Amino acid sequence: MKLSRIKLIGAFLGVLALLIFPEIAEAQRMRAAAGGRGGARPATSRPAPSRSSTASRSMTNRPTTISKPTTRATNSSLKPTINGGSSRVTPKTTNYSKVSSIKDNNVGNTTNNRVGNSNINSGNKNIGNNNKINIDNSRNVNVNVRNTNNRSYRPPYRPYPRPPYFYGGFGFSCFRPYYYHPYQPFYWGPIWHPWGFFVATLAVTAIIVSVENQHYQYDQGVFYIENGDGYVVVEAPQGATVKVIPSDSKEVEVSPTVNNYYYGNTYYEKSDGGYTVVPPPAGAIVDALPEGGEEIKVGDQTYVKIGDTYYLPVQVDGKDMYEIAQVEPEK
Amino acid sequence: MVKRIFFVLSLLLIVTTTYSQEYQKDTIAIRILDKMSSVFGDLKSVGFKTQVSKDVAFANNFFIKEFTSSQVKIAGPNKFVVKIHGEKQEDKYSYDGSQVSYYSLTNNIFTVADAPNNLIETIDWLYDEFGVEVTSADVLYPSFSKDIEAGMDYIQYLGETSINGQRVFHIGCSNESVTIQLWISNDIYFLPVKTLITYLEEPYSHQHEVDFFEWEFNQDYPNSIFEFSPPPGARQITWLNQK
Repeated sequence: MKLSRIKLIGAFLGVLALLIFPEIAEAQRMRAAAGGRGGARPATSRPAPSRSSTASRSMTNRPTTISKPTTRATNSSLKPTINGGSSRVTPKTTNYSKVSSIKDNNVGNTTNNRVGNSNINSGNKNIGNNNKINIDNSRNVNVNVRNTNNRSYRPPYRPYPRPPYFYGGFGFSCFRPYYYHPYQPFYWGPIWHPWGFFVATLAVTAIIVSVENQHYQYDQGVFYIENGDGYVVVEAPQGATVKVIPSDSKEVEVSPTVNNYYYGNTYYEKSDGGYTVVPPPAGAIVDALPEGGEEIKVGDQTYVKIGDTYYLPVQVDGKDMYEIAQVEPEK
Repeated sequence: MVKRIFFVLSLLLIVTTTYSQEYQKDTIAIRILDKMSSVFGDLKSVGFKTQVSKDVAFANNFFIKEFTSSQVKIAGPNKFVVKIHGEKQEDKYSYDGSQVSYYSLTNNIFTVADAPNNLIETIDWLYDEFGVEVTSADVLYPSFSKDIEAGMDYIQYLGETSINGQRVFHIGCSNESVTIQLWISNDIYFLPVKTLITYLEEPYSHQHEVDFFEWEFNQDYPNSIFEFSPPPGARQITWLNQK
């Protein structure tokens, strides 16, 4: 009696095992495991109670239960592919075209009285992937922050060792080899502000500087012009002379006899009256670029363009730097 | 009588000129190019790999060789994907029929531009607007043999030779600014095996050489290989248009 009871229990466990093992085997497959979690696939999200009820069925019913057609995967659609098309986890992205024309740039070593296409409307401009300049000001400032009389660079004192890379009728020249590193805007401390930044008041240390009948307020390496009930940061006007520049300005070698001073995207040269704002010296290298720049693919290389000046990412003594490029119209 | 002599002389002059032009543009060479061109004209899709070497100006009077390899899949009428392995970078260009995307795998940056709606216009547009040359796409142009015939002063069939054991036809073409050599397979497909372009116009001549291999035809490529989805963390940059 005892023996037959043990046999009966054994038989019951055997039946149970036969029913459970296929499920275990399937659960080890990745798709089945994922289905069990998400419940998307009926084959693997089958609740436990239904299994136990199956277990109580007679042996003859079992194979039918295991090979139940509804538990099989089917093509996800009638698409004529091997599986009807995949069910994506990540959505398909919509990419937006982002192209600018070299002809719209004020490149070359000449002045240009271009007007109007350099305004930064300081409303929070952030459209898709086209976030060109994103200055978070609560005010709607519409000032031409670019100085259209500025030159984009001044030529180097020595010739380039190789012919320029010609692109769109312009020759791009640099001394150092291209070495890409991502553009990460630099901030020169709390008193420095990028172009287009609005402030309601200026420090008492601000002074007035006049260049070509335009009055600027200058304070610690930043030039402002008056706008409504405050001041907007603008590109430093070349030719302006100030008595003092920030103490953390860095020396930039222009030639063996001339050095410039670089602070907040402005280049100064020592003069009789103090320090005069000069064009970026082509061939010189700087270690930091401000906010407001744009990475631009020119042929095989990616430059950072700030205003009308192109900077080539380079590496000097293992340190990421930028070389000011010469961009001349093709002769 | 004088009129007749003048007529005969004119006729002779015309015949001589024609003969001379035919001699400069070898009909065997043109027929081989035509054959290659017509094979491409019949394809619905094509895939191949290339090895490219080109002279790059390292300094004045000093060229160095740069090597790249690429994998190309093209599906008519409006899709391609090209993956390029350079010496220092790895890039991918994808065209899905409406946009061309460039992605730098090395630097995790990409560009996107709205493109024309067919392959040939897009290949032209890429070159004109962005200076991008899809690996030796010239040979894929429907008018390739016509363009060569029109643009070259000399087209010569230089005989049969072999490259890596493969029998090939050798064709040479030239004009005042460039010489082009093509090695085309001597088999049923007439495919380019190698091209060598020597640019003569600049102060120093320089070369661009392409080896083609692993051709595949009329494969049904899945659409998803031509689509570009920016990987996490990839940054879109601006693509500077030459025009």
